[in-house]
Amino acid sequence: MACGATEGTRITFPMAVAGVAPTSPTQTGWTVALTSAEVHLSAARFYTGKVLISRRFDPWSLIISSAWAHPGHYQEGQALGENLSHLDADLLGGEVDWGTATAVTGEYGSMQLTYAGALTLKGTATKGSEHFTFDTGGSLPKAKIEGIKFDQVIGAAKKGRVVVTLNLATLLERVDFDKAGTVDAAGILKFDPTSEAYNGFARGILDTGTYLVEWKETQ
Amino acid sequence: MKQYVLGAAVLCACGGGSGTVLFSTWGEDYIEKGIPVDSADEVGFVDGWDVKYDRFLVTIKEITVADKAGVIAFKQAEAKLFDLVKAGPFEIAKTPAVAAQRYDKVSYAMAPAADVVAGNASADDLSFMKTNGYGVYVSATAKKGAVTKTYKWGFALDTLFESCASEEFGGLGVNVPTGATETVQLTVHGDHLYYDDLQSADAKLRFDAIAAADTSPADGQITMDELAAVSLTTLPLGTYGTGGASEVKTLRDFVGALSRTLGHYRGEGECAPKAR
Repeated sequence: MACGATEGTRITFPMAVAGVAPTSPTQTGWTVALTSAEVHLSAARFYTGKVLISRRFDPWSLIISSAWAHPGHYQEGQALGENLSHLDADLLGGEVDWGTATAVTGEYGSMQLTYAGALTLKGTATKGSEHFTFDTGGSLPKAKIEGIKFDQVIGAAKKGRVVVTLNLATLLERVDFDKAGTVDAAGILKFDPTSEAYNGFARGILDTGTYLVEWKETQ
Repeated sequence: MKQYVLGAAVLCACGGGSGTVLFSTWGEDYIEKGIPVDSADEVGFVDGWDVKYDRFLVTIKEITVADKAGVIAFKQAEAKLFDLVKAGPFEIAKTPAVAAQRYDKVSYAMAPAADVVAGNASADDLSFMKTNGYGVYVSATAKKGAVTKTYKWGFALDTLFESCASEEFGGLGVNVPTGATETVQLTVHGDHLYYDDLQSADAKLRFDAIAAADTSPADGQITMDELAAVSLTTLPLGTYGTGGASEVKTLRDFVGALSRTLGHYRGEGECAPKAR
């Protein structure tokens, strides 16, 4: 492990991944029912750097954001740990174990998630009389998602694990299924990677607000 | 922060001497002279635009100096309006004599204020900001080749810049020297309205998407309503990333979010912006 922080005590902690399916219509008015949410991950890395904008932040209606909101100022800082386990999972199947991170104790600020392949959602989308069976396809806008908030002091005394939960509603929030491409011969609306819908989906993948990283004590 | 203010006499009674802090503001060359096209010599717009402001109005209020425990040594009495296109820096406020020591907590706000008074701004600007309820207002011209765009954007947002820190000046807050005045500049970064990412360390200054918003009508003036009509999903992936700001969906949202990042501290120092 290439951890830069040498003062902490070496520890390990198990990791898991989960997904939360949409429960209400998207902002574009689509009601989505997912049939699968395939994810392929290859690494999680933890850093001391605090995240700039880390929660839902509406600049016009003055929702409080206590986060640093300066463009270009996120710095990952020192590496504190990593989990290099490969994971293929369907997030609709409940929480999935994702190997073990080797790390050091310290004050964690952020996480970097690395995809090993496309995050693919399949399901149905309905809006009024419109109804699609969709497949977001095999494209991935970026493998490494940096600057995911993880404000947590991890000491040696208490055991715990880290759970990464993907909010699948946030992933789909910007997607207008009318602008996804064409329906194929099998009746599936496959996202065209050049479409506005895919752009919205990709922005959901890149949105660090999609990912909730939590430390859960086990004793 | 504790909501009480200790008088200067109390703070100076500890025998460690006293000093003062002079707060000023400055818009640097980007606001006074303009933002150039990016080049080997200057950081500027990577897509060939240059921008020149003719007005850059900011209301600065609630400058607060407190110690580590949150005991307030100074709080700015009145909001002041500045036009940073004028050659600065400009004095905002000076503290009375306070105990010479380190004050870890320095904060200030950019926000609308009904009782704002003129810093260096004109009476017309003062009236304009009060009438419209703006805390920040910019008027500028952007040029690229033969194309010219103008825009006048007002922001009615209330942003508190807290936990101000400057590595160059010793970290958090301000150190008040004995028998002297420490000058603290609340620097305003006028280039931040054009960053193409809210979080990435690789954010660039861009204007093409903003210029292209001028469609309703295409009259050379870019309005906030036109920015609101541009969904970020219509812009190329890799630009206008929102970090974790999931609610930022349009160019108007994006520029609004960036307007909350204008305030800095002693040049390149930072504060934590908090939407109120």
